Amino acid sequence: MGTIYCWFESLFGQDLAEHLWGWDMGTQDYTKANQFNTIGLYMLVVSIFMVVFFYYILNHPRFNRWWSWSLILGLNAGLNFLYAWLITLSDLSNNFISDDLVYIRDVNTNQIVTQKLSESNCVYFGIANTLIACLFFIIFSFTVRWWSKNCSTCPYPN
Amino acid sequence: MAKLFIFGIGGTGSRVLKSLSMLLATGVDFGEYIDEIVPIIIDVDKSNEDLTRTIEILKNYEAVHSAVAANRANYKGFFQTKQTNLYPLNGNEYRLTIEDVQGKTFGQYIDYQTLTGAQKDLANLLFSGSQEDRGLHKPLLDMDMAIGFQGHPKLGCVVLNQFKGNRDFDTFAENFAPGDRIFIISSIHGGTGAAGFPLLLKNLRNANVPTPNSAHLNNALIGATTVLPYFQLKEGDIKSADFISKTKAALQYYLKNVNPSLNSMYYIGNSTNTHNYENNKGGINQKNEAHFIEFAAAMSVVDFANQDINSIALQGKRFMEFGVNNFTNAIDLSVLGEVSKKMIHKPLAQYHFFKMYLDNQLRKSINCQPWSNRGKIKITKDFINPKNGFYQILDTFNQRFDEWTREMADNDPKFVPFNKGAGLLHSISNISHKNSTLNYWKSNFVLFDDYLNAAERNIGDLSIEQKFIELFNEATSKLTKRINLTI
Repeated sequence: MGTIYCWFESLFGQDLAEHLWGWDMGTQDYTKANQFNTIGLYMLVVSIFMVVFFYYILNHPRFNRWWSWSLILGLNAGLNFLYAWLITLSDLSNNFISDDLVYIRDVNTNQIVTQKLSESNCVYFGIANTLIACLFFIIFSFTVRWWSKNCSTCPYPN
Repeated sequence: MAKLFIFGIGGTGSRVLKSLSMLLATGVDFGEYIDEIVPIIIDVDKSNEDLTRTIEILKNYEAVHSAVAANRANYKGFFQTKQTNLYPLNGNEYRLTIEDVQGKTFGQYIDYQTLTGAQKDLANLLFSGSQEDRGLHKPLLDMDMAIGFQGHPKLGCVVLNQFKGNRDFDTFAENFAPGDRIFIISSIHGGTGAAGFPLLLKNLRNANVPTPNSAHLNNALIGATTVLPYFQLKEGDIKSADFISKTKAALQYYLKNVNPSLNSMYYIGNSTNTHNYENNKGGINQKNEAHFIEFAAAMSVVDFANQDINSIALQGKRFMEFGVNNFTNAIDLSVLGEVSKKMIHKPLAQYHFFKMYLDNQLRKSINCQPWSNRGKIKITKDFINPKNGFYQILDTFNQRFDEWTREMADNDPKFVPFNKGAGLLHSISNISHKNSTLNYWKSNFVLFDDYLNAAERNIGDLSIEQKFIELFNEATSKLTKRINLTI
């Protein structure tokens, strides 16, 4: 999953990517949990659920227009944005991110010279997760829609 | 499989045939013994508006059936029964031509002027009456036959007694095969029907060479409906006060001369709460509103067609009447007897749902719902364009269907099977349907679209017309189950 997320690395930054790969300053290795997999799995589960919900649970003749599909796409995007943003923001706030990824410190005084990671990186990661969630929502939609009774021609006819 | 030749004689015959066409359009089943009907209209009054409307309906029915049932031997549903026109000559469709009557008075027809002596005296004796014409009394011999016999069966008996050797009658006889059946619809109190029915029956039972298939005709299974008075006429040239006395006289005659030759005889009429029609002798002004009695008479044709070949009654043994439970002046489907319900309840409800969808929802759903834009054959807005041949014909037929139901609802007694003001699932009069939470989630036309979308999955390799009708066959069938219309 990390590879896919890293398509958007320029958006949310390499340092946050390193954290999510599981970088641990103490061991100088990627010994923490790979959070790309966790977040990616959540993103997949939510996207699949949303697609299944739209095509097979809602499955309603009055909700088979492009705009209702877009509404669910937006909801999926919003949920995935929130999750990715909050997870990384929580890590940042609770200092779960290795210090060397967050700051550049003066070697002698250990004073912070530059802050490399900030809340905006978390927002951008949320956006990246949103984009990937939308991509998977579209892929899943076109994969499973054929069997939907009422929505198989949504967002547009075959 | 066999054909059912249906003779509709006179104005009532045409109107019953119209009701029958409507029933057939709904998919009323003619059973396993009949797979094709051949309507034949006998009416000398060519311009009679009842006849004109019926012919238009028959033509449109045939066109829709041809498109819907093409290459589908076992097709069941709307317009399922094949209908054949024996007389395709333009302007004369479905009509058995009675020759030598147009532009002639009755006197000219019988060559009254050339009669002498005893023959002339006999003609004077038999046809001595007069006909009121715009306030004047006109001798029967001077009556113009172009608009029928105007309530004078004694004239009809003479003029219609030309089946033997009649070209169109021979065409019918040529097409008659062993196993085919014949049904005759007429009124007993009018002119053409009252005269034509016994004559036609006599010509069938006593047919002989050179009439083609005469032996088969002699032994054919023949049923008939004779419609007793069921309406009154406003003051005018034809006196409806005479209907009852004419009926009594005719019934006496039928008892010995008609009934013994029939395998089934259906009597139907209504003497109370009747409507007063305009007093028109014929022509384009004869446009009587559709009536429940004609609808019920049409059911007799279906009943006869469904008679088991192995147990069908011998001649002169089966006489049927029609009645409803709890007669009121507003009849709906719930008061029909069990046999009638089983015959028409479900198909009529299905067609009503189909019509409601076409009128209220089709344009909103087409191009949007998967039933329309999924699959190899797509039903687009072009298909329902009024210029599209098939849809235009269907739409014209449905306009007549609307007119037919509206006229029956406005007549006396009223026939009000539908309540169009109610929501779709509540629009069958007196059929209760309980709402549940699920009903609100998918109700009325939403549920209809849901069923159509489901039906689209089961559509095989059909033409666009066939797909369109088949979708509604399946979806409306499910709707009738949804409202627990089990029979």
